[in-house]
Amino acid sequence: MFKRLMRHRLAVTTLAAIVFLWAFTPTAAIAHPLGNFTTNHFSRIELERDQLNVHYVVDSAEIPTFQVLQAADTNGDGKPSDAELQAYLASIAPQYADGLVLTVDNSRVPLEIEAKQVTTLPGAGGLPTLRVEADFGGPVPRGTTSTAHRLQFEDTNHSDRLGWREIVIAPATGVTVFNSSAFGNPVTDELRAYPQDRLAAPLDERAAELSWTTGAVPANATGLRTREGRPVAQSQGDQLAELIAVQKITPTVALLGLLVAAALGALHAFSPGHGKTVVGAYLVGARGTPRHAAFLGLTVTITHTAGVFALGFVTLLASEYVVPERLLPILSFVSGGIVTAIGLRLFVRRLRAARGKTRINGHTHAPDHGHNHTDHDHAHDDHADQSHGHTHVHSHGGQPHSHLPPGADGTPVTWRSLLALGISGGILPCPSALVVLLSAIALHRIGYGLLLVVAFSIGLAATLTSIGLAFVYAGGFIQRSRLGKIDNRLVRLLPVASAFVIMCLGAVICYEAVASTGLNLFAVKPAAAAQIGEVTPGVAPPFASLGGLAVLGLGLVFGLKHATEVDHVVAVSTIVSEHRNLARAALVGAWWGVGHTTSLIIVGTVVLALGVAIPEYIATWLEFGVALMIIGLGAVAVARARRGRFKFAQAQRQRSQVHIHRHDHDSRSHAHLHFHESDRQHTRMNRSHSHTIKHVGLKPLIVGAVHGLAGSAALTLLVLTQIQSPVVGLLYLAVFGLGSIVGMLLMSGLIGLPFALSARKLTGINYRLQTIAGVLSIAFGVWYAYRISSDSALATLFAATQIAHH
Amino acid sequence: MKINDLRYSSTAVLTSVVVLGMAALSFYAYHNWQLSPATKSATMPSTLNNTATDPIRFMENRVKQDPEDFVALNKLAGYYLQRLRETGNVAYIDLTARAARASLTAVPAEVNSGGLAALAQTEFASHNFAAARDHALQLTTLDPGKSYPYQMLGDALLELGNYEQAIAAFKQMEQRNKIGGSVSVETRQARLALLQGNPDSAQQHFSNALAFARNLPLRPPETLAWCHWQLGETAFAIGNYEIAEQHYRNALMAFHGYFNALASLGRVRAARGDLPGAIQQYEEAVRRLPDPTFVAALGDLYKLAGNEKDAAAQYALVEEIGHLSVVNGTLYNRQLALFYADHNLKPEVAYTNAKQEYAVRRDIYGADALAWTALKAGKLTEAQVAIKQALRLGTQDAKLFYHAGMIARAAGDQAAAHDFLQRALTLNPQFDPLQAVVAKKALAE
Repeated sequence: MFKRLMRHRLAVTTLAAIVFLWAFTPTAAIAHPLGNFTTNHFSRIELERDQLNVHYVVDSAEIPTFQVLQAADTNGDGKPSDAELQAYLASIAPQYADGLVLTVDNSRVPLEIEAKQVTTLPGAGGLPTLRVEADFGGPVPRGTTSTAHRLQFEDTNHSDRLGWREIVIAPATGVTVFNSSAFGNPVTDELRAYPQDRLAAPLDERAAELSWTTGAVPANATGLRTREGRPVAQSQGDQLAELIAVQKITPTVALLGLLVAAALGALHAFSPGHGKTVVGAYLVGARGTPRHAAFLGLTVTITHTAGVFALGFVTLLASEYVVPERLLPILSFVSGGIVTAIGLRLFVRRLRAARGKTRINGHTHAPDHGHNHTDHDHAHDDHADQSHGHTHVHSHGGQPHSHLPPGADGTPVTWRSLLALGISGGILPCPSALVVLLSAIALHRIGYGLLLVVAFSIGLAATLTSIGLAFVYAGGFIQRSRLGKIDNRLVRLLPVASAFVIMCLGAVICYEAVASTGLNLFAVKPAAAAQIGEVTPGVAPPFASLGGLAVLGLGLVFGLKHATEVDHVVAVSTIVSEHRNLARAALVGAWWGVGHTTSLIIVGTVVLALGVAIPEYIATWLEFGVALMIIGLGAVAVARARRGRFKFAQAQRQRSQVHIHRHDHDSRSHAHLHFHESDRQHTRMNRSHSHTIKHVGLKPLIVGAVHGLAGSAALTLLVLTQIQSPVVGLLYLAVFGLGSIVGMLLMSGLIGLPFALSARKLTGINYRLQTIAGVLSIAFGVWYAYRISSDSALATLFAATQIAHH
Repeated sequence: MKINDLRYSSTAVLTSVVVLGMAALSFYAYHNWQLSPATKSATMPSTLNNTATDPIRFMENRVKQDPEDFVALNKLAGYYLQRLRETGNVAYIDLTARAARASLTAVPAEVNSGGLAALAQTEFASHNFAAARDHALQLTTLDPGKSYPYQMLGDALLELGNYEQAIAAFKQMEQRNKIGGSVSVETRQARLALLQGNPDSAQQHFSNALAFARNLPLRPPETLAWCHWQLGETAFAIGNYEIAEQHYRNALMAFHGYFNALASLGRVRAARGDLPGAIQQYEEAVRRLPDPTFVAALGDLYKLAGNEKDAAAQYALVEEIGHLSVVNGTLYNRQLALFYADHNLKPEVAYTNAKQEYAVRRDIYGADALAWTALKAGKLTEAQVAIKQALRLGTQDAKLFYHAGMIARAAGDQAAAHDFLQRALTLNPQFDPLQAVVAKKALAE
């Protein structure tokens, strides 16, 4: 049971995460995190240039409310009337103001009541809860010479009562907070929604200390942070927004404003997240020209301007329904997605191109492009002894061609890709540009505002274009240099690497976008784990309320992760090592996923239909079978590599005889360059050479099925115990399976990369890689088998790490 | 060819050695890395006044980074339990339960005795004593050499009224206690002495426990306060009000605002005739923790002071607390039943509640609650049977004697009634501000 749980705790967490998401959907009544005894406090300290405000909320749970209302019930009718509540508010608000001790540079700031409000809300057991809100304000003391101020705050109200105590720091635009003991992000939406999910003791923030300034922040100061430790974005005084607010617009002022806006845009492009690296990587890989760079700049300008306008109008028209902050991560995600897609496409194409290039003399001929370099030497045979096993030129339908791109290196710049890249760079509107537009509208200076935004966008584009150009020239320089000429492979692989970088950056942008929404997939897990025990028997988590997308997303994510489990990866890697084609390698993974999912669903159906769980001893034997299978796969891979390498070595020793060898497969005619000694050798070589394995075959399918079978025992058990509805259970399995297919497809593609790259040129290394994969697999299989058979050994190890009990 | 083969096999051997080494290393690292401190959270600025919760935040961050870090989860459960003991806030029961369950989900109980112990303690704290007993029993097989499983087993058995087995479990606990004596051993011996009607011995054991607590590395304030408070309770039970008050004050010195001592100080102030002081103490205690016992006592004191309106408000609050949540219902069931019986309210409800609880939890105070509520509900025979059970250990408790006396009186056994009431008032003349008055009146008749 233990091993299975360890292996499939992922499944546990998936289920738990789903349950958690369901549980997280807001419910009508507030449940106080500390129970119904509590009096909960929220203080938001708002720092403005010359004013300090405290937004203060006291949320009393049922019992303190009961006590308060009994005291406030002056007419004795047992119910709080509005007048009674207002009288209570009038008496409590000054007390609260006194209880908030706010000092700046060691002198106390008197707090005035600016607004106050009291409400009762329905709570548990038919009792009301009480919510008092107040805004207090006080001036920033004058006459201090230092530009930075030190603020201290303490909430001494109800200090002996239990409760949640939260302090949030909110600096206004132009005010920068640093060295703060308090944090910048609220947790409870002003005590309206307490985190029910987390394994977390309630906040107990009774006091705060911080420094703030409207000028320059001293070096080595720590900026305001969120509770998760991330820095809070603080505008260092929004210079752009200030441009719009000038008293009177004269032509000089306007021109100056536009120039400043452009400069700000240019500077802004240097801040993270505008795909500078992406642009550079693309252009250098694609051998772009200055014309391309300029086009890119234009696209960025137009997209960014349009983006700001669009978001601005959305904000104006739909501000009732959509918060701009919600849109930004989505746009960011879209931009990341575009980048990833471009990267992926380029990567695949360039990789194919790089692999297809087997010549060493730096050029090739593609008849269909009409080139005819008759002055070049085509006697490949002359070079054969100093290079690879075989070179091949093959023909489809009688037209011989080489699998090489038309350009000298990498793929050509396509306008379409450029456009997409430009859009991705400009789609994310800069928040300060948005502020300009909105304030322009507010000030009825729309035309000027638009001009400023355009100027800003041009500045932005200028920077991006310059960076792109810099990359273009740098790339050209490398190519022309001796370095490039000596190691042709470097130049050839550069585009591949740059495409890979683009892909990775796209993924990072996507991840950042998701993370900025606060939906941290890794943070969901602990809550989920904590929640797993809370599932009430007989209550099925309603998937419907979760939304199809969310289930799909979660299933995919966990399926993806599931595919990367060690025993899966090891088994697949041995099979992948036999293939020298990336597509086939990926197909191996996909087949594995299909096998895995199929057996999961078959067993799952049986288990759910019959309501029986698989006995533990059978599960253990299945696990053991997986271990043996992995050992077997490893042995096969090693044996294969040995045989292949042996022949390769033989061939190398006897490479004096080289000849071109024509044959057909799949109705294509191939030409191979071969070196071997005798006819006997020839036939054998021919058999083993075979472009490696043509068909992916059933092997990965069967291996996946065995994995799925072994895993299904624990998984279905979980599904049975955690999810009551069989339909929901199967849906979950299907989504999980889909994730594992995609995950293993990517994984095996990644594993296949070194095998594919080393297949043609570096046969020796390829065999060595195969051997390593095989040996690794055997070692892992042995260890895995040992782990399964010796639970007691594991138990001892765990006992050793146990801490002494209290 | 031979050279090639040799080279090949040496490569293979080398590779396998490296691979096996890495596998072993990663296996080792996987199971031990939890113990290494996370450096990330250490660099975060800490909130002021948060030193008490710092280890909790630290462990919570660990769990956030690795939800299956069962070592951190077990630690966290321990910290939450400590907070529960310090504040009396039942919300920590829920947090402890979550941590314990998450720990046991990550690593099953068979190899995770810390998680199981946390679960058993949670069950104990939420008055699910049968489950606590079963899990403690499981722990004794998982960790047979340790004393703590037997301590937890004994505690649960004691609450369930299974005194013989509880004594046996505590014996096992003592035998496994390697240090010779400890706070936990002494407090269990004191508990048994109290139940068996030996307050002097209990006093001695609590004093020993206090001495041991003072010698503990960090002199845990809550443990010190608890020992002082228990000494005070023992002194109060035999009418030593001055000594009791001193102990309560010591408890508050050891742990500022300790809710148990605050309330008990109010009770002893009332016993010594300082009604306004008593009210002030109870008001503070109720602000800190509206435990229904405290609230009811405050209501009684208001009533004594002639403040009927405030008394009624407190009584209303007592009833609400029990109804607010399932947890509250379980935790305060007995207090609520006794409150009803003491104030001649809802006799049937009180009786039913007490009877239901006694069906699963047959300790002497459960029997006492049943007897007292049965009397008020007019079920005299049942009250007589139950009070016999309540007195079976020979416990010296004025309230038990008072209830026994009132039952005997209702049954017409004047001699026994006189005897019991006399014993109650001799032992602890001011055992309860309202009920002592009733007892005196009954005795005078």
